[in-house]
Amino acid sequence: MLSKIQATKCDGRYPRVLIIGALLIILIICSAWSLLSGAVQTNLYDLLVALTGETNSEFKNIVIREIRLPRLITALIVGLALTLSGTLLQGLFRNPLADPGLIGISSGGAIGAVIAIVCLPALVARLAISDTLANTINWLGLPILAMASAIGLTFIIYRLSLVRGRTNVPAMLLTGLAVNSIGGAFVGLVVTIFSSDEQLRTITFWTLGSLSGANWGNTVVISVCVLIPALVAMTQGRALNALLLGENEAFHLGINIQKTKRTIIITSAIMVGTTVAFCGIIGFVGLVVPHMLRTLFGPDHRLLIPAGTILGAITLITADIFARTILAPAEIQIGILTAIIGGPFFLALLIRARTRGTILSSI
Amino acid sequence: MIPSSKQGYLEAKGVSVYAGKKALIENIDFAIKPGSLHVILGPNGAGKSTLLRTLTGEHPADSGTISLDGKILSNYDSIDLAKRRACLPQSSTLSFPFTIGEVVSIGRHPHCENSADTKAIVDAALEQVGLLSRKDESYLHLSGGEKQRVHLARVLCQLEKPKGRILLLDEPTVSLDLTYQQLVFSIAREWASKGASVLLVLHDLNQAMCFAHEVTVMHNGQVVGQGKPDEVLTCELIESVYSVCAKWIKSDGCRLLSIKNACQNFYKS
Repeated sequence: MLSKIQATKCDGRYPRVLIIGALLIILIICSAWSLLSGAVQTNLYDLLVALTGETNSEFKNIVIREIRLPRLITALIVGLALTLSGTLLQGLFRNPLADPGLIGISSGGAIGAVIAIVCLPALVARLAISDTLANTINWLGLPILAMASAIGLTFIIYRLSLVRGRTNVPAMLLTGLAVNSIGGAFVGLVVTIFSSDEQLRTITFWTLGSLSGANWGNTVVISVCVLIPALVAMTQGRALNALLLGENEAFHLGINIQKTKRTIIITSAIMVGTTVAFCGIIGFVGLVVPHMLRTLFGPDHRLLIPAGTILGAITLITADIFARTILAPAEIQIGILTAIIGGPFFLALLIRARTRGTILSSI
Repeated sequence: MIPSSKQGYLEAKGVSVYAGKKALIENIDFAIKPGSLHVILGPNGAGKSTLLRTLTGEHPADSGTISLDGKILSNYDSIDLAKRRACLPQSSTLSFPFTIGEVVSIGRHPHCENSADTKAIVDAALEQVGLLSRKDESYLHLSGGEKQRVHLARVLCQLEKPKGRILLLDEPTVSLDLTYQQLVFSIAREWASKGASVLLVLHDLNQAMCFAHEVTVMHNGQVVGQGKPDEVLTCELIESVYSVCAKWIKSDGCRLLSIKNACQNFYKS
């Protein structure tokens, strides 16, 4: 009897500052680790020299500054974007299994990417334009088309689920399901009928996600496209807490529900659309990291949002280190790694939560 | 400018709501006043909850107006309105592992204040519903009645103090045991006596007779009786609305409803 009572009693929650501070320290350690690992041997001294900005052309410094640093920042931003949008969408749908794929962001991105990989080169080849211009179009085509179709498809799903001016959440989930399967069929059709073996490899490569394309140019674009919507989205924590009670309850608490929903869906689409465009589909992070934090520290979004963004960044940076080093000089696709690391960890959390009686929220 | 002692006058004028062509409520005139505990009664599907939802602004009226202190409800800023009007739903679907204290503190959303103030108000509200000592327990493990008490505390916490506030409770006693049913009524009475406008949707005519200052009886989307409970809740009205033969019995100065077998015309219709 007594043990039953104890099992139902929640742990006292840790202060927010403490959790976020601890996570920030881990983030810094992981970042340093990431900058130090790779084929070229470097030590902390090289790192300090490279980062303090003394321009010398020593090979080690160039490796750190021009290769590892942009890659680190890309990993950080992508991890942040995936986790933040996962946290927001799970809160919005009041469903801990929601993730960006559910509202069409990933499948939208896939459609755009397949068009860019398979159809665009054929189209460009027919146009009488110079080789440099053709190459530029082919190079920019993938991110632009992937991002545009990710955001476009999300917007279509959003519009289809408007019932009398209000977003109907179950309708949105079902519409997402339908549109995702249409998108999947389209991708399958193009891949099996029209693509060459090499294009097939590119597509497979892309659907598993990779940070290997990171350079300063891409990094700046990704950072801007993610950080601006991220700052807007981060203001929604209190409103999301109230939304967890139910839409009517949130309305009675003075929340503009429609505005909150719109803000979350649009910012998520832009953030994840950007990551999908540049790094392909990196699954699992947006689903698992918020869930993990919720199990550990409770569902308060005022903590989940900042802590989730930092932990998301840590997760992706760590995954990227392993992706680069395990089979060096070859690279493992980061999407495979996030699943390998995240999966068992997630299972362990579920088992622990079950035995302690703090059962994860039902759907 | 309305003096603060008179604030909290929520009024519906000629309000109708339709679902397709069917009228859920039709041409309702209705008002709740500060200092009064008003009870809405009526059989299932009479339009009680629809009226309540229209009064909160949650469901827009297809015709007619809702006003608070003479100003149309939709012209209020939603945060200002939330500071003055709170609504307890019949049941809630929260399924995330908050603690009891955290659920109640969500009620402070419309207010900007530091966390020490929030804590004091949350604790006071939990004290009122008898859950203060269990503040850190998980909400998900509570029974239906306990959850209902948590939400009552959340709603009280949202308004903080009674004066000029509007408290709307939709069947607040449904899953509560006798002790806490009485607690809810004593809280509702206390808030009314301190200047709040309190509205309850109820099913129990005895409770309405005992606690209400005013009652409104609804039937098929219409108001069929309005006024003091002992004047409105006549045996004839009860028979016509609920199709049961009922009689009020005096006992210890209190009136109790005695219900005979269902009336003949119930079977015929």
